Amino acid sequence: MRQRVLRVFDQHISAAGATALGRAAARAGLSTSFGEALTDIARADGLNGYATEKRMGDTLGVYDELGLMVAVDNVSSTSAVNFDLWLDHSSDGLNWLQRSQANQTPPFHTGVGDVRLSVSQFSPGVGWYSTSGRGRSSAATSDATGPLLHYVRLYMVIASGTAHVRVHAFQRDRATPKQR
Amino acid sequence: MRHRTFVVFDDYANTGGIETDTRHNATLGEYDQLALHVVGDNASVANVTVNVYVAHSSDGRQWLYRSNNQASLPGTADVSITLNSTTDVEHKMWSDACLGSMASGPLLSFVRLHVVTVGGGAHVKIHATQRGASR
Repeated sequence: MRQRVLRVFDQHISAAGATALGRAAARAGLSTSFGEALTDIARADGLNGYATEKRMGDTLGVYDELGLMVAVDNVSSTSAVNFDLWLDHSSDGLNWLQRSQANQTPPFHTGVGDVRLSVSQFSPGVGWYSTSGRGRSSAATSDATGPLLHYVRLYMVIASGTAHVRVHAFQRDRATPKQR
Repeated sequence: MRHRTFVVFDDYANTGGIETDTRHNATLGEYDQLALHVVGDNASVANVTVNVYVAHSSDGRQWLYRSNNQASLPGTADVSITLNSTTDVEHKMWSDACLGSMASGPLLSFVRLHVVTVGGGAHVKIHATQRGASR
């Protein structure tokens, strides 16, 4: 049954990442409310990515089934650019793995994201992703559909320019008959 | 929903192999879905491989490895990480909703992990996250 609907990210992002919009937003007090530019990850994987807030990590991982609806608008680029979103998870909030990468080996957040949208100033995008977590995740068998670890975050990158991104998360669960 | 996350192993492992504490056996088998996050560091030498195997049992005395349904160690570990240097930190995960049969089916009553290294020793920390239907 549906347990919860959350707005987990609502912020402008920039291809320049934390060095531009992220820090400006932080100074303006927006970062703590809506999202967080991750300078450490930008350095680590060479991408200027944005992730959902740390405090969201625990909330996003509570229920077994997770759905996302992603809306990208206010795009600065007049030509089409790629927006990618990946789902990461972790048990300690410190070491994160990109869930869809079956071999679990860095670099993460390369190639096509769990959600990829081609957007431009004249063509905003809406995308969708969901997982039931009812398979198996194992590097040994190259599977990546198993139950989530404790913490979940969303990692987002736009290839060029800036855009406004809004992400709603839908959480579902198998409830026992008694609870219904 | 997520019911529990806890540290099931936080110790130095070596080539002789070691099991998770017996007090965790019943706990690890309590819920239907199990996820493991294995973090390795502090390798004694470069290129140490840490292997983690999931084993289960109905009596807590006789154990079968889940991936090969035998008492002898499978050829492939459920989680395998290689530490490239003594200062390297690596991590990987394994999870299963246990909705299949045999090697991907429901767990027996008790669950334990066998941790063994190849090429030297290393510090290994394993978090377990357990999920299942809401109560």
